[in-house]
Amino acid sequence: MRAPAAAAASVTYVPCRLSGSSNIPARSKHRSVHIQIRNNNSAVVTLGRTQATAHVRAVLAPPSSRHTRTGREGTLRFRAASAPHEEALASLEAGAARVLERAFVGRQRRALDLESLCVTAGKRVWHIEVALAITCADDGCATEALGIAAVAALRAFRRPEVSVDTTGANVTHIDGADDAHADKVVVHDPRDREPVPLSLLTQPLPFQFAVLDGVIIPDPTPLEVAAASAPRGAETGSEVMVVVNERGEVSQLAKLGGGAMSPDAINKCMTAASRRHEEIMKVIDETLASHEKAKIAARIRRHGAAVAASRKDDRAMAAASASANAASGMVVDAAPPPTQGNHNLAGTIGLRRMDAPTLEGAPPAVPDAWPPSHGPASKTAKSSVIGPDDTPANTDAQRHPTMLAEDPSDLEDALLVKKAKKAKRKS
Amino acid sequence: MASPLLSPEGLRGDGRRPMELRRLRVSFAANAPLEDTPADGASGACGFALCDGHASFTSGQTTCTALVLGPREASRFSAALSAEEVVAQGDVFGGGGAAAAAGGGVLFGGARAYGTIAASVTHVGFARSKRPASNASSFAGAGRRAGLSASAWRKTTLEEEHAEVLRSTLSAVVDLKLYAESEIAVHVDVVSGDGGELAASLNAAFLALLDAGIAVTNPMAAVTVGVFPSASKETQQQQSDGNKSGSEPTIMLDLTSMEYDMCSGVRATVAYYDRGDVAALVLDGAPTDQTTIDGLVKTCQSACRAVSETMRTASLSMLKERAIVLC
Repeated sequence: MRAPAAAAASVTYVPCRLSGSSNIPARSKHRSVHIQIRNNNSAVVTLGRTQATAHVRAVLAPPSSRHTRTGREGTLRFRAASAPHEEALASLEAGAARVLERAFVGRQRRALDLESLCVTAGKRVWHIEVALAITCADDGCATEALGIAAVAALRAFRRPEVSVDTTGANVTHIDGADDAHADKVVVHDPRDREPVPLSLLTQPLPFQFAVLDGVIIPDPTPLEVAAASAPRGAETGSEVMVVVNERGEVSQLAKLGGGAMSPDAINKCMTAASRRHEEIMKVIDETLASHEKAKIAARIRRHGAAVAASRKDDRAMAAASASANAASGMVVDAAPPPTQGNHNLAGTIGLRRMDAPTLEGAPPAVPDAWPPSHGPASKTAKSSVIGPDDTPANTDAQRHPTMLAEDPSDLEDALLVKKAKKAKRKS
Repeated sequence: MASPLLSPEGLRGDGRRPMELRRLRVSFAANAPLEDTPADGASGACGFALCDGHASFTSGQTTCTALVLGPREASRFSAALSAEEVVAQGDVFGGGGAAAAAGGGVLFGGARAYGTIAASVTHVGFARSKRPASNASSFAGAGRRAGLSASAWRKTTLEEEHAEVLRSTLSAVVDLKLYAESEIAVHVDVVSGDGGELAASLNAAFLALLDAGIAVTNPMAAVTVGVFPSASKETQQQQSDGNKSGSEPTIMLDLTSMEYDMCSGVRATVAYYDRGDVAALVLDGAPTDQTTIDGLVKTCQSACRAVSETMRTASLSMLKERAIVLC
């Protein structure tokens, strides 16, 4: 953690503050947490000056291996998304990613139902990736903020509805090798069918505490951590991280070094964490409820706008609907002719990537930053932008640089508008 | 039967009882043939001549060796100010005595009133060490991008994590105020791994510090512990009307790597100071209620005391031998 330059001057008052001898009493209250949901797939958490973002993406691809068990399961992965030169922040993110990955999909625990991510066993599963980014860590508690952001983003995220067309079993292929791959996976456009939420079984959250002389300080600032972990003879404290779920069960606990700490203090931290979990859950629930409301409101507005547009210009709308039809109900053939350069996800033989989906008449290829090797597969997985925050000013100014991958449906909308304008000019 | 890992007699695979530790062995550099190495240490056959402290800690099949270099001059560019130093400098501004300890004026952001500890851990290739299973190998991680294979990447993260635990724990063990402007480097090799590598690394590193003659304020010892839920759910239901005692989870100390892998509850590495407070705690596993975890943490206290006692006797005899040599 990078210590702020001005820290040294103000340090002397910290111990006084903690011992309650100064006019600033010892803090035992949590700072308030602010959560903002953006684009249905990312959440920004503000905790004091600390700001953390979690961004969820889903890719429909072959499973990581064709094992009978893993072939029937999708994956959930957390990764640090910061620019590599931000070393201090990147290491915080990497640490948080490690903690969260263990909390969600570690051994013996499943916070996300991975089997529900399976589309066709052994062939197509959803791979969920959560990118974690810290924009500011000045007020500490990076892991805590990222954990809250991750849970909020995973709950807000909707993956596109998928259906399997088994009638395609009789279709003969050019190579005719794998009849088993004849199933067609149809990825429905979000405007066509309601996207599906992920099935989270539990919601583990990491919480950080500083303990000093038996006083438990929740979400400590770097100064409070410094005061707690400084060697000061017998009076030493420490920093503790607890991962707790809504049942108050602890799945991870880390107290690394620092000073001595009685077992009772650890017990107190666990109790404080489970209480804190309830509070945070309330905040997340409220945020998601209001987000849901805003989403529905925006949809009504958009629908109204579409009706108005159709009245204004019938021809433009016709063009738009033609491409929209092509885009919706995209049929992704599970067995396209083999392409050169076979970058299968896990090098599995016989599973072809969905490089050539039948997208005739669809809008031209949309620039898609991530992941390049998966081709248009990732595009199909993006949820559409219906949130209230999709104005360009908002997204550009505040998103993390690495979060700037354009949402394809955003571009699609832009294209539709362009087409409509062209048609107008022609007429 | 309380746990699938226990025989009907209540014994573990290697014949231990649940609360029994494996055989501990401690050795110091004094036992190694150091006299043969040339004074300049150029032979390279035995690097111990170059280090200031060396110790190895063996618990059953797990062996860790630790080297200590230093206290030596800290590199100017090693790191930004640590958390301790932020407060230490605060003391200076508050007119504390740290300036005297630093031997001259304290420059802002420059001089270090406290020493630092640098730690690194290597799981030697041939050690059958525990690597955490990753279920999400399909995506390329940061380390993978750097050109590491999946298993190598996992090993590196594990080593980094252990090094971080080591560094922060030892920083609280050593009286860093005495080592202003200097650095104490600790390196641990996990020579053979059969469960409890982190605990063994901590113990070995602590012993190597003693061997190097570094001032230690808080002696400590670490053990591994695991909670094994009684039985599968179906058996629990069958037994529910019978004896209730069968549903008690079993706590086992000093897990072997097989027990570690098969543990379906929580596993923890706990380090205690001799005075009875927790020094370090790394807990991981299935979500478990707080009372069980509390019980687990408290169980380790006596085990750590036993380990600490063994280490104390060994180090005292080492010191005695040295005193005789010096006479």
